[in-house]
Amino acid sequence: MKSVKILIINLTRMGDLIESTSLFRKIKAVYPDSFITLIVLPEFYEITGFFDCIDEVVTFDVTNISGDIFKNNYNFNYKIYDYLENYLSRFTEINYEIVFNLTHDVMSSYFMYLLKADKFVGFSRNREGNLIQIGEIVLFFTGVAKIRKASCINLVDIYGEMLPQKMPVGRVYLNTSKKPDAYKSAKKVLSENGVKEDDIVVSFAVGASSELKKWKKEYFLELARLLIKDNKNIRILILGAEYDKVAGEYIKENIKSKFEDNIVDLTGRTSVSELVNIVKRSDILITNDTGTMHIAAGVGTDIVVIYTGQAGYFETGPYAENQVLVLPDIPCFPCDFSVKCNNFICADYIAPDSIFKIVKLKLENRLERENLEGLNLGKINPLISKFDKFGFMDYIPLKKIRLSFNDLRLKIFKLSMESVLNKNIPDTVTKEDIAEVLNNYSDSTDEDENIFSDMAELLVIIDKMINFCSNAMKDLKSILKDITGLRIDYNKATAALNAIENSDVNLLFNGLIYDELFVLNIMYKSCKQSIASYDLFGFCVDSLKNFSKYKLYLQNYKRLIVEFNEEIRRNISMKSDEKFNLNR
Amino acid sequence: MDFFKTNLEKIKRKNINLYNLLISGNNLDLEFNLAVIKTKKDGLNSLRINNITIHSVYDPESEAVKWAKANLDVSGHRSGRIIIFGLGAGYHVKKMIKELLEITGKKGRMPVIDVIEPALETLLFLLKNFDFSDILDYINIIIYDNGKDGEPEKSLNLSEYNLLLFSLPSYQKIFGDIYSLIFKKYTIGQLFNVSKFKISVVQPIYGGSSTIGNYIHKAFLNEGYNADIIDFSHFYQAYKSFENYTTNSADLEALRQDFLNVLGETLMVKIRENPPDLLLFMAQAPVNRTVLSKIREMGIKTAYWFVEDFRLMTYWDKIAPFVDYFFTIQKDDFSERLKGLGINNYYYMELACLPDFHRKLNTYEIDKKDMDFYGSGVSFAGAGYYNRRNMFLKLTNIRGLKIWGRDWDMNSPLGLFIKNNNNGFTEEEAVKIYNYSKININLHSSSYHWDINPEGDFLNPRFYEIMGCGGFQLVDYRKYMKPEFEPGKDFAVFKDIIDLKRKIEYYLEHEDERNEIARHGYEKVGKYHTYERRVRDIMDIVLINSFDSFKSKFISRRVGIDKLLDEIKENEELYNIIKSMIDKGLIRGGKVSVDELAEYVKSGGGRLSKAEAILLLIQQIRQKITIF
Repeated sequence: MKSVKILIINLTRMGDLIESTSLFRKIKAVYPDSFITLIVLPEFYEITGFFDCIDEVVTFDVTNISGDIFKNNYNFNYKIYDYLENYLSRFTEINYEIVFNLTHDVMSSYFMYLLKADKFVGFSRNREGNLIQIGEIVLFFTGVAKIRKASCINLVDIYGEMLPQKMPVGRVYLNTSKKPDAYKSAKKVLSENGVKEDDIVVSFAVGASSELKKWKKEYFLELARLLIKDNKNIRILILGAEYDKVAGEYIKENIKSKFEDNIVDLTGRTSVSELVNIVKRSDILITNDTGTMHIAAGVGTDIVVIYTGQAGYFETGPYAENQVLVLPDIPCFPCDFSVKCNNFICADYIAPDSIFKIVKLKLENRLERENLEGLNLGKINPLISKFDKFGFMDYIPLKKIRLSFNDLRLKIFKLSMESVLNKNIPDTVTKEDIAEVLNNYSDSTDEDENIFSDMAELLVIIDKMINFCSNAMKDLKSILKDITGLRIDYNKATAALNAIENSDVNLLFNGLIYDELFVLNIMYKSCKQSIASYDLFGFCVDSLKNFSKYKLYLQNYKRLIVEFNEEIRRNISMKSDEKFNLNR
Repeated sequence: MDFFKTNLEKIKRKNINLYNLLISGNNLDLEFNLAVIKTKKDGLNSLRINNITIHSVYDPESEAVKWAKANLDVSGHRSGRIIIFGLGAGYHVKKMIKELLEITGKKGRMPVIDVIEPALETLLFLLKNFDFSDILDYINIIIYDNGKDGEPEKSLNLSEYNLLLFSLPSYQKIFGDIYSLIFKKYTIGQLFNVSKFKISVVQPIYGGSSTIGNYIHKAFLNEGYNADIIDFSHFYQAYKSFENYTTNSADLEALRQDFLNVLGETLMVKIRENPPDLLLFMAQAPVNRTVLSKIREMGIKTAYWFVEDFRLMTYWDKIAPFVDYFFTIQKDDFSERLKGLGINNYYYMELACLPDFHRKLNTYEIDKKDMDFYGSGVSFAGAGYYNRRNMFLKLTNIRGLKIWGRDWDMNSPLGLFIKNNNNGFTEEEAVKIYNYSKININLHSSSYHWDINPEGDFLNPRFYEIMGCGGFQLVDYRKYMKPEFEPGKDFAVFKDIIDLKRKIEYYLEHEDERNEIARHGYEKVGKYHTYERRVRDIMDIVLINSFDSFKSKFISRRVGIDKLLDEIKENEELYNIIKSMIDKGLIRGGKVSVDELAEYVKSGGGRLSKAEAILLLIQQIRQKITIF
C-alpha cells in the first residue's frame, strides 16, 4: 500500500476537471509513491477514465442528495445526514499528506474543513467557520474570480501553483489509450456516418453552459457553408449534448442539399468517451467556451474558440500553444456573471467570414501575423496562445493592435503576479522581455502621452497604498514591541489599532480605482479574515505578515510599471530619432 | 386526625419558602367550602371542594390506579418532568409515583413531579386532613395564584421540552379559570412555533416611537419570530411638504388626513400580499378606525403600543377600541380612563432596552477620541423641552457639562454646552454618551412644568437605555420606578435642582458608589427590562387571549420532536444541537428546515464541530437544488 495519501476534491464541471490534469501529473512527479484519490461529481465521472496519475476516483452525488432534500420539503432528515456522515467517513478517517480543494464554492469548503491532513490547499473554513483560502495562488484566484477584468492567469497555471515545487506545469492531458473500447466505439460512430480516413474533419462544439456564451447557430451554419464550399473534403461534425440537438438539427437541415453529406450531426448521440476520441480525430475544433474545448486541448487537437458574453478567456482559455481565441472587440466583454444582458450584440461582432478566414489559415498551417495583417476580420480581436517568459500561459494579439492602458496594466500585472506567486522563478524582467510584450502591439504612438500620464497616476495611487501598508506595519510593530516588553498601554494600543483600521479603509478606497489593485485588496481582506489568533500578539503578527505581503505585491507591480514605462519611452525616443534622421 | 405537623416537617426540609408561607397562612379569608368525606373503603377518605367530590367515594385507590395508568399510557413514560394539577387527597399522585417507580426501576431516572394546588387555603386544608408523608419526598408542591407576579409561572417553566401536564377532572371543574390559563400556557409553551409566527411592526411616518419600533422588531427577531417592519418614514418628507402649499390650517389638516388615508390603504395592500399573524402598530402609525376594522375583518390580530403620554397625545380613544390589544406605558389614571370608555383590552407594557444595542463597551472598544468627544463628568442627552431649558440653566457652573440634543436655545448661555451644534445625536452616539459619561442626567420632559413634573409617572426610553449601557443615572423621581426598580440602588434620584446639584457633586467624588449603582442597574435591566422580555410579555398576552384564533399554529410538537430526537440520539453532537434548538423553542413541530438548522449553527460561536460542519454542508447542497 502506498504510504502517502493525497486527496483532490474537484466538484466542478468537465472543463475545469480537464484543466486540473496538469496538476495531477505534477503531484505524481513530486510524490511518486503517493496514492491519489480524486472526488468528482458523478455527471463528470466518465471523463476521469482518461486521467493519468489518479489512483482512485470517487463520486460525490450532490444532485442526488439535493434531490432528497427537495423531496423532504427542504427539511432536515436524519437519513440524509447519516448518509452524508457515512460517506464522508471514508475520507475523514484518513490522515492525508495533502488535500487539494479545487472547487471554488462554499459547499466544498465545508467538505474540506471536515478532513484531516498535514497540509490543505484551496478553499476551506477556519475554526470559527469563516471561509478561508489556503495558498497564495488560491487567494489570487479568489480576487480575480470577483474582478474578472483583472483575470490574467490561466486556471491550469493556478492549479499548478498550488503545489509550489519547481516543475514545469506541462499541459493538460487526456490519455485515450486508457480506454481502448471508447476509441473503437468512436471509430464505429464515425465510419457509420461516412467519415473517411482522409477527410479533413472540422468539428463544431455548438453548446455552452449559458446562452450568452453561445455563438449563433445561424453563424455556425454559415461557417459550415464557407468551409465546405472552399474544400469539398471537409467533413463537419456537430458535437454537443442532448440539449444542443436544436442547433445540430438546424445546421443539418438548413445546409444546402449538395453539402448535406459533408455535415454529420452528432449532438446528443455520443458518450463522453466517444466524444474524446472524435475530438482527437478532428483536425480542428471550432467551439464556444465548452468542456469540449478542453478535451481538444487535452488530446492535442487544434482549436478556434469563440468567446462571447460571460466567457472569461484568460482563466479558462485553451491550455495549449498556438491555439486561437476570438474575442469580440467590445469594451463590455467579458460581462460579469451577474449581468443579465439584454443587448447580446457581442456575438454579432464575430462574423462567420472572419472565423472562416482564421480556420482556413490554421488548417493550411499558415496562421502567421503577416498573413492576417491584410485581412478584414471585422470587429474581433483574435489572440493566440503562447507561454510567457515565466512559463505561464498567455494570450497575445494575433493581429497587431494599439496598446491600451488597460491591456498594458493587465500584462504588467500578470508578469508581476507570476513572479511573486511562483517562488521558483527569478523576478526579473529584462528589457528584451518587455520588448517582446510590446512587439505584439502596433507602433502607433498617437496616444502614448496619455498612457504615460495614466501610468503616472497609477503610480501615485500605488505609492499611497505602499505608504498605508508601511504605516500599518509601523503601528503593528509598536504594539508588538510593547507586548514583548510587557508594558501594554491599552489606550496606545487602541489608537494604533484604529490607525490600522484607517489604513485598511484607505487601502480599500485607493484599491477600488484600478481592477488589479482591487484584486490585491481582496487578497489582503481574505488573509485578514483567515487570521485565527485569539490574542493581540497573534493578531499583530498575522496582520504584520498580511500587510507585508500586500506591500510586496504593490512594490513588485510598481517596479515593473516603472520598467515598462522606461522601455516604452525609450522606444518612442528611438522612433522619433529615426524619424528625425529620416527627415534630415 | 391532624397530619399538618408531620406534613409540614417534610415540607420544611424540602422547600423552606413554602413552609414559611404555610405557617404564616392561617389567617386567610376563607373562600372555599371544604369538607372531608368518608368513602366505602375502610380508612380512606375523600374530600369535597365547593360541593364537588374530588375522589371516588367508592374506591379512590382503584380510581387513582386507572388515572395514573391511563395518563402514562397515553403520554409515554419518557418525560423528564410531570405537572399534576390538583393535589387532592393525593391518591392519584401516590399511584402515579408507584407506576413510575415500577417503570423506571431502581436505576431509572424518576421524572420531577410538580403538583399544583391552586389556592393556599385548600392546600392548608389538605395538609391538615391527609397524610402525604410518603409522597412529599417525590413531589414539589406549587401554589398557583394566577401568576400574579409571574414567579409561580416561572418556576413551572411550561415551555420545557417534553413536559407532561395531568389534571384531576374534579379540579378542572372547580378551578376552571386557573386550569384553562395553565393549559393554554402549557399548550403555547409546548406547541407554539415562534419561527412560523409572522409579526409585522408598523412604524409611524415620524416620531420617537419608530426607534422603539425598531428595537422591538429586533427583539422579535432575537426571540426567533418571523418579524418584519412596515416602514412609512420615507413618506415624512411628503407629509411635511403640504405646508408648502397652504397656510390654512384646516386645509392642511384635511390634506394630511387624506394622505394618511392613502398610507392606510398602502398598509392594506401590503398586508393583503403577505398577511401577518399579528400587526403591532407603534404610536402614530398611519392607521385609523376604517383601516383597523378592515384588518380585523381579515382575521389578523392587531396590537397597538401607545408609547406616549396619554395626557398629551389624546388620539388614543380613536384607536384603542378598534385593536385587539392596546399596550400602554401608563396605568392607574389611564387605565381608569380607558375603562370608563368601556375599553378592556389594555395592558401596561413599560419600555425597555435592547441589550444587542444598548450595551457596555468592551475594554478593547474604548476609543480615546470618542471618550474625549462623548465623555464628560456630567451629561444630558435629550431634546430642549421647556422644563429642561429651565433646569439646565441652573447647572451652568458645572464644569464639563455636556448637553446633547435638538431644540435647545443656542442664544441662551446654555448654547455653550450644547454639543453637535444643536443637531441632536444618533442612537449609536447615545450609547457612547452613556458609556463615557460619569453621570448621566435624565430629566423627563415636560412642556408646562417649570422643571420637574411632581406627578410624573411613566419612565422614558432613556431611563432603561442608560442602565443598559452600564451608565450611572441621576434621574427625576417618577411614580413607576417602584416596585420594578430600587431607587438609590439601580440609579440615583433627585427631587429638585438643589438636590440634583448636591448629588452631582457627591457622585462625582464617590466613584465606587457610582460604579456600584451603575452595575446594579445594569444587571436589573438586563434581567427584567429588555425588549426581548417585552416580546415575551406581549406574546403571552396575545397568545393566551387569542388562543382559539392561533390554535392551528399549535401543531403536534411532541410526537414529531420525540421522533426526531429518537432518530438522532446516537449522534451526540447533532443531538445536542437539535435539543438546544428545541429547548429554545426554535423547533416546535418536530420538523426543522435545513436552512433553520444551518442558520442556528452560524449564529453560535466557538469552534465549528463536525456535526455543525456537516449541517452547513447540507445547507450548501440544498442550495444547489435546481427546480425545472
